[in-house]
Amino acid sequence: MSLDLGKKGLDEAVKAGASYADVRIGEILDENLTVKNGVPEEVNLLQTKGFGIRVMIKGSWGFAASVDLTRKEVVEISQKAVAIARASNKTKKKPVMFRKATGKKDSYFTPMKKDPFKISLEEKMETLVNAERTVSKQSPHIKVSQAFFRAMQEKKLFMNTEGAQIHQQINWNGGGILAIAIKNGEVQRRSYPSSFRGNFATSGYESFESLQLIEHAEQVGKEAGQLLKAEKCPSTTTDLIITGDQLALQIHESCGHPTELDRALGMEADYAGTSFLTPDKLNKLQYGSKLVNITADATVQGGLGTFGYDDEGTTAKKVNLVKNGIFVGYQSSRETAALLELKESSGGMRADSPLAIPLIRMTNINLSAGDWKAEEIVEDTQNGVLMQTNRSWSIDDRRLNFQFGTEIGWIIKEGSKEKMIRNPTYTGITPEFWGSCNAISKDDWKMWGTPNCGKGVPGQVMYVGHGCGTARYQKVRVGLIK
Amino acid sequence: MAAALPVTRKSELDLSSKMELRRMITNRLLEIAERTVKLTLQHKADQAQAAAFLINSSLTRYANSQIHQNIATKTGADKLFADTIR
Repeated sequence: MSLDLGKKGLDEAVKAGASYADVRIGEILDENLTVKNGVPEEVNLLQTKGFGIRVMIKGSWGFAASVDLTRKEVVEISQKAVAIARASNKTKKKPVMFRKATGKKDSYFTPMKKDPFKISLEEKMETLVNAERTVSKQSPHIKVSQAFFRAMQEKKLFMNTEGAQIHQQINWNGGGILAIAIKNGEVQRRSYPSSFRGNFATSGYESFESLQLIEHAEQVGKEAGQLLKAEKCPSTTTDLIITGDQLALQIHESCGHPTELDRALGMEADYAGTSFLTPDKLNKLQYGSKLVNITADATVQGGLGTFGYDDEGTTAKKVNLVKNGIFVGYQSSRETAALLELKESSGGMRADSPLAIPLIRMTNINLSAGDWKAEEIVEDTQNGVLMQTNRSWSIDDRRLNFQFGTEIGWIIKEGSKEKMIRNPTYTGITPEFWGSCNAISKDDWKMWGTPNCGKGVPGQVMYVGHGCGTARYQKVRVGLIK
Repeated sequence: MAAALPVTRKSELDLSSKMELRRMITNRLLEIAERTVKLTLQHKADQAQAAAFLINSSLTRYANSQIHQNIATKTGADKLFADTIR
């Protein structure tokens, strides 16, 4: 990464009148492999390069970016960013203030043993072909069988006029398998380790290997076939147990998005709406039961939202969002932290490429482990439903009223799984739902990676993480409303 | 990547200059695409397809009655698809 180009960009911005400027230069490698019904469907390697410059003029922001990494272009783009900031100034109500960043001269590299981009395509494809083939053999009703691999490497340099000079290399990868079984118009699906192409972690190729797709393929295929014959999810109000692969999305939608401070302040509404967690509720609202502790933690090992510094130079950190059930914190930026008179940014400003402006994005939004073993939660439940692996989601634009569907469920009777059910769904109101949480596990707590979180206009797709195990909620409405 | 294109302020261009600039950009993108296809075929691919593009975009977003985001982006890419049958 060229320090010289970065310095040139900052110098030009200051010369043109900027009181603050930052520049991000980056290069992204993104490999996607898919095998579908015995055929390699996607063998794709994309490379993105470029730089973006953000400047402040008289308390207004301007941003410009380009793929052309030359000195001439850096000069032009700096001047363009300054011109844009001057234009923004025309509608300014109050000058933008922002908190100090902690970034300095430093570097961060995702710890990894095996570089996924140095593993041969043949080796990766062989794993996928074998996994997909095993899935397809498990039932004559499996009409679609797929296996996925994805690896991303992001190299980036951040510099600003406060002296920060931060090199980072973030690596993540993972994959999954999918079976879709169809019979008499009924369509059922099973995925492993999670839906929507699998699970992902900041790590080397060793994390993909640890998924053991081939070893899990038999069960995935069989369950897809079994679901065709399973009873429908009953319509009732009962205890609900959710495993980590579904709970991750529950956390994402009902805590992750509403604690993004730009949404709470009404500055951002695209993709996921605003938020019911408005600033007047901070440190007051009973968000959940006393068992519920949720953090934004960019430091946890393997999390898809784990890094050294965010994209405005704030050091990765862990902040409380919900503590002992009370809503206590936001995910913020340097600017929004100042607006709410918070001491500092939560370190959540992230952009999906050097060409995009950073937005407040989730890092790893984690539900802290409780005291239970996952098995004990089932054994302790007299009547209930256990739901696993997300299939669909819907939530209103203030993040209050939600409905989720999962791929598979089980009726729980007197402490054990009685029978499998198909098309399980549940619905709730965020604070009531989390308020009814009465058991959280610790033994199956792990990081789940969501590589497809959308936000902003132009839309950005960010990779974020969620740490959780299994949890139980009381008196939840499940099944279709009669 | 589409690179090293001539840079001139739009407001300074008359119509013929604009047409000339567009022609130069088109030729440059075509050259990138042709070179990509040739290189791929040299590596024993049976079929190759390349697409090159350059996009200038600007966007202004308002929130709470003031400009919240004001950005300009120059994106470009050449995408390569190659099928090899041996």
